Amino acid sequence: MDEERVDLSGFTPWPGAAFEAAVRRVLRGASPTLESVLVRQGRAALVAVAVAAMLAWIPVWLARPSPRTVRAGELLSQWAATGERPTDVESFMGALND
Amino acid sequence: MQDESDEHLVALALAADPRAREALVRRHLRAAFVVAVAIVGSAADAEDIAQDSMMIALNRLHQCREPARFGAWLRHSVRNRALKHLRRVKVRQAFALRPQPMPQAETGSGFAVRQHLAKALDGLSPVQREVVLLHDLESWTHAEIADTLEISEVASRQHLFVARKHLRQTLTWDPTRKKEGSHG
Repeated sequence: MDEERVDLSGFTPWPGAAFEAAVRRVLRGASPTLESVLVRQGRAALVAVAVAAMLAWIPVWLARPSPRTVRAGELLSQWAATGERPTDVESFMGALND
Repeated sequence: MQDESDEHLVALALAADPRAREALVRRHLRAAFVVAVAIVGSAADAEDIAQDSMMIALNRLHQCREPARFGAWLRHSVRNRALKHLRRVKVRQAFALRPQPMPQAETGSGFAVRQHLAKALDGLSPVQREVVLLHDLESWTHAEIADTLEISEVASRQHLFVARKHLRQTLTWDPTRKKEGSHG
């Protein structure tokens, strides 16, 4: 098979010492810049902050009063302020039973 | 470092190991050139494209999802870059008012040989060019070529056969001989 090979050696990229120079050039040009490091680390930091914020928010979310409790509080305040029996006192009683 | 797998080299390079980065460049730069030259035709432009693509690949190593297939990932990027370059050249040529001066790199020694080969390769399709250059210049196996070009090994052999036939006809044809014959 090898004897059938077409001689394309004239097309060899970076012949001789030019290959070493090309390798050096690539490595010099590809040395990590401050910007690329910051972008990469910044992205990781952003993810970490987002996760921390979510974790911190979970207990707050679990401890928050239910809408019915809030409504019962409003009714009680209204009753105390006006002295008039709220019309939807049944729901208020239900909230207290909860 | 030379015997390490691409996967391991990429992991080391991501950990800022300079020797791993160098090993990746040495292993894949020439194949990147072949892919580029198969598309753009000009060896000097292909060298620039290969170098630029390699630099970008090293800077974006963290985006390489399959480190074991770093070579394929790089060559995909080279192919896109080469096609973009080709489109830019065509647009420039379409709007050029006068012929552009030849780049410095295209006038050195060996230019005539490269020009002759480039002209011969010009008659092939991009995939035929890639196959014959990877096989006959870079000594890749058909299995490696098939894997990187996403074609079957049979197709790779067929492309090589057609490409070689065309190149032999083109490279051995001497226009001066025909001229002399017609005069005599």
